[in-house]
Amino acid sequence: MTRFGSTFLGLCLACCLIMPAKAHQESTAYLDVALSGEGVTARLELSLDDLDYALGLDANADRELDWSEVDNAAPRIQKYVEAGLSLSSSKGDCRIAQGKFAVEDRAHGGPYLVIPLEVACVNALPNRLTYELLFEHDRRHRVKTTVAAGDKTMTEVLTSRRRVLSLPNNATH
Amino acid sequence: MSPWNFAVSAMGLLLMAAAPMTSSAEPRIQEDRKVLEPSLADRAGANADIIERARDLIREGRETGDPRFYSRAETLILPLMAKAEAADLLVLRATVRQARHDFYGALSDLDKAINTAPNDPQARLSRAFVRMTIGDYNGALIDCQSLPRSAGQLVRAACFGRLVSLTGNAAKADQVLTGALQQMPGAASYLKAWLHTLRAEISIRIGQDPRPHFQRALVLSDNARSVRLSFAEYLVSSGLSHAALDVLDPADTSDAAAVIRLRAAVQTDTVRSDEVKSLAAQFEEDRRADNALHLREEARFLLDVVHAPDRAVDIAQENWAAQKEPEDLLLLVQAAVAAGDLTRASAALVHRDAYGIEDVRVDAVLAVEQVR
Repeated sequence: MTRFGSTFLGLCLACCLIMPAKAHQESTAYLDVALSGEGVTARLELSLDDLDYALGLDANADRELDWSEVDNAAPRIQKYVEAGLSLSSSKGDCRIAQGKFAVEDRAHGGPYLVIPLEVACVNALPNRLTYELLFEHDRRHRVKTTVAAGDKTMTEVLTSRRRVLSLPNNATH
Repeated sequence: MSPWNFAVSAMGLLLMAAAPMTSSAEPRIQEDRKVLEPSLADRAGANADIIERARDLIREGRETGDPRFYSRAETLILPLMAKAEAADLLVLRATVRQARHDFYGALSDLDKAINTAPNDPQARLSRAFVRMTIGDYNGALIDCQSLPRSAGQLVRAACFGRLVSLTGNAAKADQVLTGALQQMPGAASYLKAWLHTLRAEISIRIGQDPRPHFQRALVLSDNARSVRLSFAEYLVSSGLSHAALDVLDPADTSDAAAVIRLRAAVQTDTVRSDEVKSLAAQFEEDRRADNALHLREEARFLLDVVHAPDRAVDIAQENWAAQKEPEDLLLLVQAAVAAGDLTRASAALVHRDAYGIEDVRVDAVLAVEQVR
């Protein structure tokens, strides 16, 4: 997986301190994948609180995250995501490039780090998605995955017991 | 002598027999076993660190209401449990399961822990309270009786007092708790806060004003989230919506707090439809994820905020199958009456009658129903 562009976009969204999330739901990530004839794009959203627990983003241990702490940890976050998310096609592994990070608030989940992804596969659309993030820290973590292919959309929930998703292959490439 | 009379007598003996203890010798409640258990010094350092981290996470889960802390604790200790199911690990996992409302899973762990370490006070105490939650009062009595002296006087008073309060002798239970508090003025604040909270809950059920007990518990617990929630629940149920909002921690985003806020908003005619939809969606998502953690809150939400008694009574029945606390009994009876079919609460009412559970709130609902 390679990185493109500078690290962050939308700093203004979170220029103030980000309080640790106090979500009342289980650890949940969100992954939207769009398959089309023009290519494949995706968007991964990870709770900053979950990332802090997994990677220790809170450098000064004051139980609050600010942007400099998240920014400084960006290479580690990118490496972690690179190791834990993969897509492949019948021709082999696809290349995933991470875009500029942003932060968005979710009503029940606190602040989330939003990572746009561009997926490049050799002469084929991906047919398999593997997600391995955060399970080693929280066995109940889940990722709500929405896949849009052509005029069809499917939503699946991946968990520590189900980490692989077969992707529909009805979008033309 | 019935088991329940025996429990009252036994409590009296325990109170008299207990040697005075300093506050530092008092055990800590539930999950925190630092004082209760033998030193961890002889345990491999890495394992001890992991166990301490898991305890910290559980403590944070209790303080914040965020279920992720429990999941993280569970994930931390699983590799250790795969090697050996030591009693302290079993008690930790039981605590997690209890917090996740997996009461029978918690019981399974506590049974194993007690088989290994019959005098483990935390395992005994935890099992007593889990058994009370599922309505197994005979089993709880055995555990309260089996609490070793090292558990401390207030812990034993809490165990017997709560049990007696659920089995037809709430006034006597209050005396037991009051006596223990009077005899142990120097006990640890968090333990005294716990007993005052139990007294508040008993006061509600016997029709007395619980507010002095809640206020004392708030002071002693440094405004613990759980005390604030219980107090706010009482206040909003009494129509004191502004006071309920004042008591709640503004940073508490748990479902229980969210439902209390919405109930208060309904009472003041300031409810926002987007907030109702948002919480409804959250409950729906939990249901799809097979997460039964919030059945009580969901049923209360459906009854008092959405005004959907038929759906509320379905969830309240499901909740009653999982837990049988006085709040669950009241909820099911209220929902059944609102749905126009009291027979849907018959299992709960049979349970109430079998054990003599006192609750003037339930009596009031039934009295109104009989007049109709």
